[in-house]
Amino acid sequence: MWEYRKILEYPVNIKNPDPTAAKLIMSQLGGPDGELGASMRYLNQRFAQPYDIGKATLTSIGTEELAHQEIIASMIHQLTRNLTPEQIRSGGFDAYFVDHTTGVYPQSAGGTPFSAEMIQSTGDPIADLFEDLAAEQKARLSYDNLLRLIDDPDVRDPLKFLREREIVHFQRFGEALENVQENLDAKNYYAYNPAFDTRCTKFKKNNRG
Amino acid sequence: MTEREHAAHKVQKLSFSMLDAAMFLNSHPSDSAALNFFRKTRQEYQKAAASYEQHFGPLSLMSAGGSSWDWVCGPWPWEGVK
Repeated sequence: MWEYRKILEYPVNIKNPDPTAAKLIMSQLGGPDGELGASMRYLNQRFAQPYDIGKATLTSIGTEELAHQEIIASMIHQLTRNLTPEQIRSGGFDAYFVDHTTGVYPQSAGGTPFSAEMIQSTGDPIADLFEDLAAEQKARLSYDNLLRLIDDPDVRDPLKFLREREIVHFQRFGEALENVQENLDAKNYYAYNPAFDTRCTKFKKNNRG
Repeated sequence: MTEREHAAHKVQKLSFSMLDAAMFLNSHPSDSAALNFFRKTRQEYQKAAASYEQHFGPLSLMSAGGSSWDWVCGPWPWEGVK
């Protein structure tokens, strides 16, 4: 189960409101490669992992993504504090404001609300881990794109931290994938689902190899 | 019931009591009976959690990192009793 800790994983202290930046950063909360999708993807995929390393990796990273959601949401909150109607209009925040005022709502930068259609949970540990590797790369490049557009160091600093984490997660998912593959019969592991078809399993389930 | 299930049940009962009391205290922060109940339950929880962890491994990262990295070892909570 989960327990809330009353501290951010990485500090967010933004002095100047910037509704334009808030709207862009929102994609990393509820967009196609955002933190909400990441946490839901990993935490739901865990159950199909046959080995301890995969189970532990998806649990740890899925949990960290929940903390990343909170960082992004905190950034949106601070970027939209004390806005004047003029700042809302000139910052292109007016359409969002009509629906959500300055509340935090998970949507993409383009305004598409979060949907579970953005993620998969195939029940196949190899297919899932390949999706996870791709997801980390896509999130990393979204952070790169945000860093190309945003100048405020108060905003850039947590974005740089989150970008680094995508790279670390990619490495850890690669190791979990290697572990699944090492446990399987190398001649056929791309042809079967190791969580469902027993014929491609070299060792017994739960053997950490 | 196995020893592990028995120890887990104790931890679950006490952590649920804390969680539920905390929810009540959030909207009744000056209720001293509820506060005393929370404190008493927290003490019992800490004992039960320490005893569980001594026999069956860490409940959270905050108590992981003993002589070996057994955090990664199953069984996992979603697997049920085999």
